[in-house]
Amino acid sequence: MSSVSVPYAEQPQWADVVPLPQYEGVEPLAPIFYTNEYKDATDYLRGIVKTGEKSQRVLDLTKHIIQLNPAHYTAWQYRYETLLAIKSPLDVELELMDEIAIKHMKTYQVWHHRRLLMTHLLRNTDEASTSSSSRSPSQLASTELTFIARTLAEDAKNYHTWSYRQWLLAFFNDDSLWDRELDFVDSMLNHDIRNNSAWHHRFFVVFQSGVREGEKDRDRILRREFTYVKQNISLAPNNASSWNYLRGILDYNKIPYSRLTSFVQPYTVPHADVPSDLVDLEDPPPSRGAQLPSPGAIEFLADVYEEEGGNSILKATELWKSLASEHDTIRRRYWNSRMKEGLRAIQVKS
Amino acid sequence: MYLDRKNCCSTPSRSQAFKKSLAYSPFMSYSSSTPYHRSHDLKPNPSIETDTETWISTLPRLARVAHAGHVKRCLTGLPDSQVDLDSSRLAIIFYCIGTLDLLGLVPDKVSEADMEMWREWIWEQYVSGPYGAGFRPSPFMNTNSSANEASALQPSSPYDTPHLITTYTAILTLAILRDDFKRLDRQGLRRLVGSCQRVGERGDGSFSTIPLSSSTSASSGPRGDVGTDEGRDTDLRTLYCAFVLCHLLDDWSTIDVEKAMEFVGGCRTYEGGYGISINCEAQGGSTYTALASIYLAPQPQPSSTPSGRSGTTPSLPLSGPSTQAGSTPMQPGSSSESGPDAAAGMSGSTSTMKTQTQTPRLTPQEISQTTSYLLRLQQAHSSGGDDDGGDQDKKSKRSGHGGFAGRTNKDADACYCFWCGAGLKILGKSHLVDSRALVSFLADCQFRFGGIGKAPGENPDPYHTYLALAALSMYTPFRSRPHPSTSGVPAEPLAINAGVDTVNDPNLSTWTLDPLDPLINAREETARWAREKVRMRPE
Repeated sequence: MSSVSVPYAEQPQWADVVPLPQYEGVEPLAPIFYTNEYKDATDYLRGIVKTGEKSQRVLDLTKHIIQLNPAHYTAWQYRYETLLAIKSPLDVELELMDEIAIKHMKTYQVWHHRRLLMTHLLRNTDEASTSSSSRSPSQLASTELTFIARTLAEDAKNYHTWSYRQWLLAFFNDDSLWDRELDFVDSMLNHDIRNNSAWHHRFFVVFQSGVREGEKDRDRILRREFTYVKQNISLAPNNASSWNYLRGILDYNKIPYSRLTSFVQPYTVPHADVPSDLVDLEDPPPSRGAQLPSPGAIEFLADVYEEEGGNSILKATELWKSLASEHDTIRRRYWNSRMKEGLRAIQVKS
Repeated sequence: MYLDRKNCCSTPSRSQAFKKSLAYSPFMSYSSSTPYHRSHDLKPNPSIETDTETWISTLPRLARVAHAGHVKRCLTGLPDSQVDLDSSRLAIIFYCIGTLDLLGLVPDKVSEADMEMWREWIWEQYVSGPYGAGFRPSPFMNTNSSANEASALQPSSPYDTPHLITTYTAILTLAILRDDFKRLDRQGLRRLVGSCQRVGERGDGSFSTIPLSSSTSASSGPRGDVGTDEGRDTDLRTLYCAFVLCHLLDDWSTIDVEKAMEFVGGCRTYEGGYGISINCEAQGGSTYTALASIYLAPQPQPSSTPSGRSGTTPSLPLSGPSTQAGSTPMQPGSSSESGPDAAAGMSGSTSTMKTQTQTPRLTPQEISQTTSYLLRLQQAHSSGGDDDGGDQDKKSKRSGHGGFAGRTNKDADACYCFWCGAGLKILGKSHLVDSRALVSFLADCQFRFGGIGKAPGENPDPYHTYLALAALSMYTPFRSRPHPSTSGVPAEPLAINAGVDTVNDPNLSTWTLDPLDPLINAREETARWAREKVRMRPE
């Protein structure tokens, strides 16, 4: 933009605007030593806001300010209101903001702006002015999913970006959008098996967002998810994300943990010599070179024993003890408290 | 980004990483601990016998003077690289002045002239409109041109509004500065909180940082159609700030508490933590704001119909302990443990807070699942080694031992030592934390020239400095005398300072900090002042 270097005061097309400095009455506290460029641009924004002008040049000005300070929420807000007021095509705005979004992906406002645009595009499909093209809202949403994937390639755990993706899917709730999500999660996890954001997203897609057409056979879905998470645990037995996911499936579907006992057991002991040619698809064994035992597995098995109650609780306390003293010592106070609780439960029974 | 977390204000020699001489070796095979269960029938593990002296000898000083210097420099001015704080200056000011408070420097070690100047600047951000009254983040949209105009409290434009998060930080900062709050329009403040909640047919109970258009349009001109996505930053942070304000006012009548709690419940995830908004990944910061909000909220009242909105739209079954379970399909079967003080979670209160023996808003299962989630975020560099070659975080984990991560499989960060630590404190589970490892991590995050960074070797900023000290205030390794708890959270066993005489040791005494109120995030004395002075008074 040419305006970046030339102060607004020297641009004839801004001559009619009265710039308004920020009011500082008393000695300012933690003042920011603004650059002249930022000071100049925000003086003009305050001037514009005072008169309520909504025009093309306001879009230039707000874009300029956003580039200097993407957290300036009023610049974003005023920009959005201006877009609507002058009926600027919102799909064009989306594309225009792509670069800014990637550059400032850690700023909430960037994503909130896209969310407002997408909401308006869906709600006002009949309004010719909203969109420049004839693309349907779900086509736009699909493009948006691709854009998000591109952003996540830059920062795979960006919280705002993932939140926006989840919002977009839930908001449009279109089968054609949901369809490709598991493949997307897969590609993210193939890249980094410990990406908890991707694991969370999978849980959101499979369980939290409702049952869609083609997913009515819940037993099949459950089998698929168990296989998926077991294979991932087999690959990296100390990955907290996959253990949390496994627990999540069981809790959500109210399945007792004991269903998984035979799978979990080999992970709770130091390397057992499992013949590698013996491939158990149902219960895949720990991969070669895995660091065993896995604290996540020990904790899980202890939960199974605790659930069984009675004398099994003694077995659970042995496991907690091994976590406290050896395998997860940073949480030893927690494991000690679990032991104490377990033993108390036995005493109450007897 | 959490509550406007920013990297801010490093000293000129920013490239120099703080490296203290302490090697990590004493903590590698964590062999030191005063066994927490000395008296019960389980034998403590021989391998975790106490070695307090070794630990103490490796702990550096808490560089109190240097940390105070860091935030004082920021109060004098921020470089232009911090321009993104323009619309949240009051938040960073809270972290600066809050740091001075936690270090015990306010009011005694700050001049009355400074205090007066700071109070005046904060009150200059006070603005009152049709939506109520509160504080703007800074004068960044203030177009008043004279003191006359400014003193009228009128917004200079429809975009010059108060902001809920910075209103929370302004009130706490004023409480630190022992303001008398004579200028506070309490009716206006409670109206503001109500103006920010998304209720009604399409509302989800969450709060916007700025008043919603329906409440501003009356006299401040058109604000445009912002659809059902009305409002900004409508997530758990804002909800929490709204709840603290209602708590301080001791007046919940302008908001729909149950609708808000429904939103909180919707943020709970399968991991046992809370995401920042519905459907989002669990995270330490949002888990803290969820827990604090749950424990701040007044008890559900099934029969009475209080005035205001809360009586008109009861949206959840209000009785029984399964309130949350009704809205979130979570039935953790993993653990039936409810910690020794879970039931006594909020007892022993001597403050104005309503005493709660436990919250009916969380089941014992939910409490133990959340406890376990938060505890698991404490990093240990001995664990998590794997096999798949794809462990990108392994290197950085080495220096993260003892610190808390914000999410599963992320790195330790000083600010999450507060968010997770305070969450556990609220649940009455702080005695389960490895507080020595936590303190050692935070000691390592100290920057050579003052201030605390997010991790060892990182540049400092007021946000991490404040939160690290706030965490230390709850997990202080040495306390010369047991403090009676006044915040409503029970005093907990100080497991790691047994028998240590800190008063006479100049190194160790630097670590002595006053207790903190984990629910509103202020030093207890400051919290008491805020409750006493802000509370609604009968007219």
